[in-house]
Amino acid sequence: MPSSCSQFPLRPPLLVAIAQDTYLKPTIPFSDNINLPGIPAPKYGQDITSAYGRIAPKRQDVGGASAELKPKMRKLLTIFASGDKSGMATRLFDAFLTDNCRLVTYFDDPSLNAAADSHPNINYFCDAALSAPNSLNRAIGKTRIHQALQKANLDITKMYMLTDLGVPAFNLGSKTFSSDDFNNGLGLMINGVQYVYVLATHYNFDKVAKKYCITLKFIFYDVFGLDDDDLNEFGASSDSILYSNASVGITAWWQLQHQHGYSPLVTRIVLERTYEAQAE
Amino acid sequence: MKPKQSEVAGSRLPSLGLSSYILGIVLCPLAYIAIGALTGFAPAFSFLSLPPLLVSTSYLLFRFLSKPGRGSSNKLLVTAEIASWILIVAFIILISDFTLLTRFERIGLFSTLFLLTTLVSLPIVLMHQTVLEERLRQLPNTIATLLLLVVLLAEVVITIVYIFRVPAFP
Repeated sequence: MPSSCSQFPLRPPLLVAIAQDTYLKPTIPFSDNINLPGIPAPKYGQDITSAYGRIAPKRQDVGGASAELKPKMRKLLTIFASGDKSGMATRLFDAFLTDNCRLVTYFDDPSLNAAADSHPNINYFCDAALSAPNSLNRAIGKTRIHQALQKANLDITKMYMLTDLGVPAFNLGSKTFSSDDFNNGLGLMINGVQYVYVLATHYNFDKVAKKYCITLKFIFYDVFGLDDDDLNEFGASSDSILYSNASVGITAWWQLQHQHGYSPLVTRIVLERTYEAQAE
Repeated sequence: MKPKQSEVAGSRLPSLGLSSYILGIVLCPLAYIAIGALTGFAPAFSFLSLPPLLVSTSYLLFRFLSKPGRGSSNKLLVTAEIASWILIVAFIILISDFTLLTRFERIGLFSTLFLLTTLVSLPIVLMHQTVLEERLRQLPNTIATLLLLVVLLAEVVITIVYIFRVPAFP
């Protein structure tokens, strides 16, 4: 972080933007007291729930005991994460499959943060969220953080929070050929992000130089869990040889979560970026 | 009066195009196999499905690519042709679900492979007069032309949208 910005912390940090997946039917809040103290918790849909003995919507069934279902779910790792050298996808699967009595928890992983930090879609999102004149990628014609700051006369405390950002996705490459994100584990672990909260942690407007610096903390949230729609769209009806290994893996995953009580995890990625831009 | 060559080619165009579509569908399972779709299933799926598929494909190619006048309409041969079609279509439906594709992705991939196999089939039907083309020439020219255009348009549009779709960003 440039020293000019590190000297100007915002206490408390200001929530300046939220991106939310439009497909969400948000009903169940799950708080993040570390990163979002005092801020209303993100809400999630059915994918964050788990249960014992629920009947599948179309009676999909690829096995009875959890010991039978676990290896079927793990096949998804072979299909979509064979190029994951850091082991982050395996760690997420291990965390999910470890204990069926735990509560929903966050999954944080340094390798996941590093992978996101260098991901083109994430870099695009972060740049476009600010959309300053010198940003590498900008959301042309839309009001983003830079434009909102201008409207507030560069007084960040008067800036209104942006809520119309689109969520990024880890979806580079091809599912057909298991390439890029469908080989490195990111597409399997996350694919489409459900929420991004953008907090300004440091800010300074230099009136003389007519430029500002801002440090933004991007917190990405997604549920590592399935809902009924996922099962109906991608899951196998049975473990007959007519169904692909991937679709059998999806049904096994749903069954573990909704019939054997394996709670989902909320994958959380935290990135910080500092920007300097001309005020005009 | 002897027709001009261009007139002959023009009247053959719809039946030639439709022949390449039909051969394209027959060859489509091979395109899925070529991109590795069988690896998405348990090995037993390959052991069980490949022999009937290869027999069906070979039979239909033999039937369709024979020289005009050799296409017998013997009941047994026609029944075998129908059975081969059922096997090929069933195989395409099953194998197109080899990985976690959305419905649109599944249709898009099929359309892309179908376009490719149609293009591969085109020189074959252009270079040889076949029973298949002879059969398709029985269709009224207007209907054949309409079918040709509708399928071509659908194939091209779906393929382009599938390949060049842009993910949403802020």
